[in-house]
Amino acid sequence: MSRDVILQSLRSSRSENKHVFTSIPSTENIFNSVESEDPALLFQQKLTALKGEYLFAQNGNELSKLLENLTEGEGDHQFLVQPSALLSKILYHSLTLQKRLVQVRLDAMDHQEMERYRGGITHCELLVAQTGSVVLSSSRQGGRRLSILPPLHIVVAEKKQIVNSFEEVMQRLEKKKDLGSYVRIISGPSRTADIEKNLVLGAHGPKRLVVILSETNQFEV
Amino acid sequence: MSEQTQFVRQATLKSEDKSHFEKINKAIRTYHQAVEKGQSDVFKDWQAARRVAAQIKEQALLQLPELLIQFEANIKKQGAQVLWAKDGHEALGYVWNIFKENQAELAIKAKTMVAEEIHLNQFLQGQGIELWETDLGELIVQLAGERPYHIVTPAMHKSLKEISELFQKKIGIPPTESAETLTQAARHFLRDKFIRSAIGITGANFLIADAGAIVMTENEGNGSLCMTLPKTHIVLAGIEKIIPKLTDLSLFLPLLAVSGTGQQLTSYNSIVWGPKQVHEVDGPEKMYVILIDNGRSKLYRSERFRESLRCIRCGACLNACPVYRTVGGHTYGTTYQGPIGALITPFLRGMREWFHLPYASSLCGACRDVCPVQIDIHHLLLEHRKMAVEGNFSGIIWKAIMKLWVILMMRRAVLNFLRPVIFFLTHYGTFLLPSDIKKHIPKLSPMSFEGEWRKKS
Repeated sequence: MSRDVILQSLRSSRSENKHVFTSIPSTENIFNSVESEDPALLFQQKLTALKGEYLFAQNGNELSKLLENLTEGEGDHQFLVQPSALLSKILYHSLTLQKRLVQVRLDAMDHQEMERYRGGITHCELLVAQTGSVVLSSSRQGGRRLSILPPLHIVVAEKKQIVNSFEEVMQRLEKKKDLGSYVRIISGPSRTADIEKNLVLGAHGPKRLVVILSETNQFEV
Repeated sequence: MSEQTQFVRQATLKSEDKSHFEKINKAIRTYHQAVEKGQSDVFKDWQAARRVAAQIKEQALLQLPELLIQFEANIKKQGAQVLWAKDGHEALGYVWNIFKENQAELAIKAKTMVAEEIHLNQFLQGQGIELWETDLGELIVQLAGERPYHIVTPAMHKSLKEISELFQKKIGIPPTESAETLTQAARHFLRDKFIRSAIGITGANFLIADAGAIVMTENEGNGSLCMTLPKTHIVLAGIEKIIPKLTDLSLFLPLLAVSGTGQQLTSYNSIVWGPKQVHEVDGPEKMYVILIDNGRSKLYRSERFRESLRCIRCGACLNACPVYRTVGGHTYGTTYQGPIGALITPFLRGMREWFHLPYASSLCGACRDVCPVQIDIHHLLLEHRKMAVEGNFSGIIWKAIMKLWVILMMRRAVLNFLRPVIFFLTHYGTFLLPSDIKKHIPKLSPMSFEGEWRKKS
């Protein structure tokens, strides 16, 4: 079997005395330190530098209003929403959003159908101030498709989800259970520079990435 | 025609092609500006980052068999299947079996160099499969019927105008001068292929042993779609892609992004632990990881050359190389171009046929200086040359000439004796030669350095 052939070949190539491990190198002092007074501000700067969009909601009404603005003029039932208690609550209180947003079981929806929607609305695991990134998991944020197939991706997050540095992301992920089978770290909208190094947004993923940050997700509407 | 003759011929053509030079150098200038900024954005100490990355990769290589087994065990627990291929032929066999099992006729593929290495596209198309490259640069190259020009920027050699003409002809769009319109045309063209494909093929930038996960980094979102929409996900990965821990990504993702394109992080970084889990709403039902050796264990066997397996395929050494920038990516005739290609191709594809590539280097060391995992590329190229000489790859005539040269240079008396002859030949004997060669032959001065020295003292 090739497995054994390959492994055997690798093992036999390694001389005995060379099989010693040096101490594990430290990544201390390699990265620029992130000691922002206001991680949300740093996140905003980094995200907008990547051509993502940043919005802030003080409370549930503001969040609802922002979502109404973002979905304006696209017609009825054009935005898919990840199943979540918060978003259900928002929907329950806004007739406008009820018309525009759709919250259904995503496992029953085929690709063709999902592709017709103008946007996907999800929560996230983490936001990264240092890099302006959004971290999503497939099990908790509506699967793999919702954040990549529609041309607009809206992320609804709260302040305590922000971590300062990219280094912290992996440390957090390592401890988390039930992330599902897929974690996607998103830094700005889809882009390409394959044609004469011209930057073009919206290659195959979303052309727009909007992050709505709120003080807390535990609010009354 | 031998590979060497081909190389020399192509190199001559390309180095005289001014428009080629301008295109490539414009792209590489843009790259270097971005890298400078990216490095200082993320890293306080770039040199320390390189050192640590090299150490982590070196450790991973020392424990390679153990880490591969650990990776296999962990990702299997999460429902993926792992297949081991000693060469390209075997890997293609696995792929073909998966296609047959799923009765797949249409497939999408993200950018992966190891697929180029095993000639996956030619193979599947030969079997009647409709296979689409989904990375924009790769799609351009596929439609043009060419090979990737660069391991990170495959269509670097194509101007906007050429791409516009290509798209008009192949996917029937009206003429345009906008990169935006061309990108949208590609998005539109591939959309329905994404949705209908039964199989998605991707590579992996890293295999993580402790997590049992594969990692892919990209900007367009095509790779994410390839591992999201189709029912079956095939991952092709060289066995050297292993890193020990999930937390190593803290360093390697920014390191690769900065060296590859000058970004802090690429737009999408996907970490995949396996196929769709029971409680999840979507994702591939089956996931196969094909671990490919294809000559890598030969590199591994050589203690001196093993470090070239640290390579993370960022393309920085290509962009830094004065030879690459002059002769261009296609001239190499290899999957991996530039300094790293010259270094590993003789091992992957045969010393005798590819020994000339290590000579396509000025040995300036720019490749080593930019390499994010500190591969000592130019010294290894020199080692290659030594092997080529010892193995007599350059032929008897060349060897005889070099022997004569050594005799001449080691014996002052012989050199002095021959001096008048050489003087006469360089001054009066060149009229028989064609003028373009004649102008390159310097005229010997009337007195040798040794003679002048004697006169003065």
